[in-house]
Amino acid sequence: MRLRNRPGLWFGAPVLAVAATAPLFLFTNAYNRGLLVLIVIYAVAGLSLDYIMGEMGQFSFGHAAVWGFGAYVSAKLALDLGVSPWIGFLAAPVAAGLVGLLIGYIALRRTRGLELAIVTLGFGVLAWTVALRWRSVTGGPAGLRQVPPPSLFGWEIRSELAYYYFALLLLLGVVFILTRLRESRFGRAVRSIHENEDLARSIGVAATRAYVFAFAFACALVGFSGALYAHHFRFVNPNLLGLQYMFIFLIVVLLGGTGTVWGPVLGAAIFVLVSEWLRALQEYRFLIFGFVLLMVVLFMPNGVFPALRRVARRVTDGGRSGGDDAARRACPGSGGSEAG
Amino acid sequence: MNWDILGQQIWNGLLNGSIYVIFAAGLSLVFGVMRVINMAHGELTMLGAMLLFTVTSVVGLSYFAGAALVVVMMALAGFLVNRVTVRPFLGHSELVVILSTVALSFILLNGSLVVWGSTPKGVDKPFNEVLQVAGVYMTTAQILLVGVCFTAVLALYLVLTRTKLGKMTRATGQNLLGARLIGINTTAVYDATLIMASGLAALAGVLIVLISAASPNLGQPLLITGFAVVIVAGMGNVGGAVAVGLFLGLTEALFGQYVSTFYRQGYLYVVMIIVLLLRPQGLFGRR
Repeated sequence: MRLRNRPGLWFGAPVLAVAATAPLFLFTNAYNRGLLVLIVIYAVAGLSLDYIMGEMGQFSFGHAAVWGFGAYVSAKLALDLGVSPWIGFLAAPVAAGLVGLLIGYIALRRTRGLELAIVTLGFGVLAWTVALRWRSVTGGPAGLRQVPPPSLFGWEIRSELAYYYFALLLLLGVVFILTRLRESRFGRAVRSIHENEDLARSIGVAATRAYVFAFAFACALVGFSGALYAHHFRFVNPNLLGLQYMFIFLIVVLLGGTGTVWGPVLGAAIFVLVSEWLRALQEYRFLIFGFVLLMVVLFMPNGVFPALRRVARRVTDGGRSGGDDAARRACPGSGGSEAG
Repeated sequence: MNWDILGQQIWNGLLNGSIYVIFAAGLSLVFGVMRVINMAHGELTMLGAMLLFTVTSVVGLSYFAGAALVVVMMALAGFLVNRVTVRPFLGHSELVVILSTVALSFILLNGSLVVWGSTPKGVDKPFNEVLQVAGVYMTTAQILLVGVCFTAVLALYLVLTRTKLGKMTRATGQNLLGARLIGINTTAVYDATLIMASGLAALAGVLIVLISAASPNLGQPLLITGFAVVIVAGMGNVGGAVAVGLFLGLTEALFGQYVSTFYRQGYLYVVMIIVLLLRPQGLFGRR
């Protein structure tokens, strides 16, 4: 019963166990451990995009631009002002959150759904173009190198292993914050707007304001992910703001499954590992990847995690799950809360 | 003021504007009728250009025969695009369709890179005499480009306003359920919409080679420009996309001549951002 009350746990605990021990087997060399770090970075970005997609029911095509912006903020602070990366890890989400507040304030007052997607695409493309051409600040297409890694008590977190555990810890913090936020008064207000905006307004939810803050929160989170990227790969370039990463985040979220906490984490792991596995195919890699993507969308349009969860529930409930599943699906309010 | 330079820049702007118009019209049509953001639209144009290169330079057809063949082939491919990447996902979230068209653009772009490589390919132009009209230099190929673009836009306009198919298409775009209720076969309308859009995209592709080379990488920048046009116009408004595409093409060239060559590429985005700030739904957008 305990497991059914805390559905996130049955998945979270094994995932955590695998994640914590992964560097001991399989991921034993620095290169493979770098992949683990990338999974964590994409997972944080995916979680933040999923806050917009799953909780708000909206979409931002400018999310990668905010991600790249966060990466640049932290990198510039460290490179130009010699600010510690730890400050950067705080400054990047703050700056990204402010940008999110601004964009959200402009866009969310008048647009929703696909129109919002297009408007944010406009902002994203603009940011990418500016980054590409503003050489004196962004370094132009070559970007900026030699971004310093964070250090702890005078010891630089340079090794992939240390950075991985560091990032994993932060990912857990993000998951914790997200879970709490979803169940908070604010989180429930956001979900009520998602379900029915007019109804939410009628019971006194300040819909646009809640959405603007939710959007800014997601932007802050993705800015943080960007800072993680900058200090791990130790370079930033304008392509971080471009559509390529936008597509990656979109794939991470939709592959894993929207509206769940573990979906984007799983999606990030699958994306990084599959595209790495396809690397051997060289120029055919992205061609094959396109087909894989199309197949996944065709056969698992809701993502991998919900499919897994259905199987797991059938196992833990032992045959009673059919009716239970149907009842859950019939009650839309339970969709988000069971994911925590 | 040098009137010849002004005239020349207006002509150059008209060339780019024609491509913007025909590209953005297809993008906007699909969104307006089907509420689908077709992320593969740029790659359809690219494929048009690359296929034209193959049928003219490798197979040996003339430009006109090749262009006609490619446009017809790509229009028919639009049917497949609908059946494989759009229709199976319409019951799901709108985002799933975006992802499937992203997958399609991945496949088309990287497939083309495998087939043709990334070096730009020149296509022989049917004729390329230089004329001087009122002090403005223009080639006959350029005149062909502008002429075909305007004919295509006029044809699209006539199809949408004067034919039964056009009426059904607009009805479906206005109210899907209502259209079904009065007996419109919306599946066929969706097929027709993507056939038209894909044909328009390919037409843009076979026309682009008249003013630049064909390359597998030409789709992405064009898609972004196309989005800038439809954002300014308001998504789904085909007429608005035509007007804005032409306007932006013209003013972009004039901006490059009289304000700044370096920031010319940024011009479109600056216009876009001003429109986004004042009217996020676009100049001709409803709401």
